[in-house]
Amino acid sequence: MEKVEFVEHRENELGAIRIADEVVAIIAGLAATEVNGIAGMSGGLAGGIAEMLGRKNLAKGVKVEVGEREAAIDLFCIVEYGVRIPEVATRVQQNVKEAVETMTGLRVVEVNVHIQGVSFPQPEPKEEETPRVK
Amino acid sequence: MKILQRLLLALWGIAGAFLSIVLLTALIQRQLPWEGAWQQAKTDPWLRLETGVVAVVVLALALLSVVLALGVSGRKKRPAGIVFENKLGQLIISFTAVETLIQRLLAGFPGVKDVQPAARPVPEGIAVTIRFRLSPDLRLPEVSEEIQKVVREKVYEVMGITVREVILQVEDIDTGLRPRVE
Repeated sequence: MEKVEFVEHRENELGAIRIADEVVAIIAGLAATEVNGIAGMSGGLAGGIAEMLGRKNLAKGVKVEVGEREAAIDLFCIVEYGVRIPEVATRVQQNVKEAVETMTGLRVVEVNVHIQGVSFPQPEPKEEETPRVK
Repeated sequence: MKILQRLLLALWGIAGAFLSIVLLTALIQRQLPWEGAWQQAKTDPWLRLETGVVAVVVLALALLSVVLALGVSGRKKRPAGIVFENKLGQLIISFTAVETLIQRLLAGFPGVKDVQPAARPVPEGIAVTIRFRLSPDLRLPEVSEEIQKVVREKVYEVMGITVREVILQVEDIDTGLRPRVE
């Protein structure tokens, strides 16, 4: 079984709150793909194999470094053809920062967006024309 | 491949061929050719020195060939992409993404086929080399100017990257003939 890394970042009189790195990665991945213009995340070879085996990887293409109070995030994205990449990337940075900070309480110090590729819309298959006469 | 590398490979090939011939001859004659030489080398220090020098040279050739074959040369690797920084972090656009965009842009260009772009960093931007095949019914000066313009404008518009140089390489003329078999 995979070892889950936890970082304890808050303690109160009732006990400690621990958030796994994977959780931060999933939040960041979902927040990034929400942004219009992002076609998907680029997970590399390992991510691709995991998906082929039927395992849905929500943290695909996300690397996180989580400290006690802060987090730094690297996102590996594929953008849709036609969008303005600097604008989309800025929106991704803002969305991810906001989502992670709101949900985990961690301060996001850095969101690095790596554009790994451009995705083009697949041409729709032509419908077979029905003959006018049978 | 550089001249030195070619020379090295040629020398290594010659050494390998020589060794093979010696071994084959030994097999046919059922006698190792260096048996007599070995006896002589025991008493002749100059012969030992000469043999040693040859062995060291062949060993050096072999090691260099391995280094060349594995690509462990000191060639500079292309960086992953162009990096922009803002207050939230970094935006890194990979060269592969730039190349894919250019390929797509030129896919719709009439008369331009098999586009193979390659981007590399230059001071304050990137330089792009585009190899392609051209239809014979097009005028290259006009087409090339248009391609350069489209690449410069669109890459800047979509990615915010300044294209400092667009080098076009016409690899061949597209004859339009399709092979009879695939």
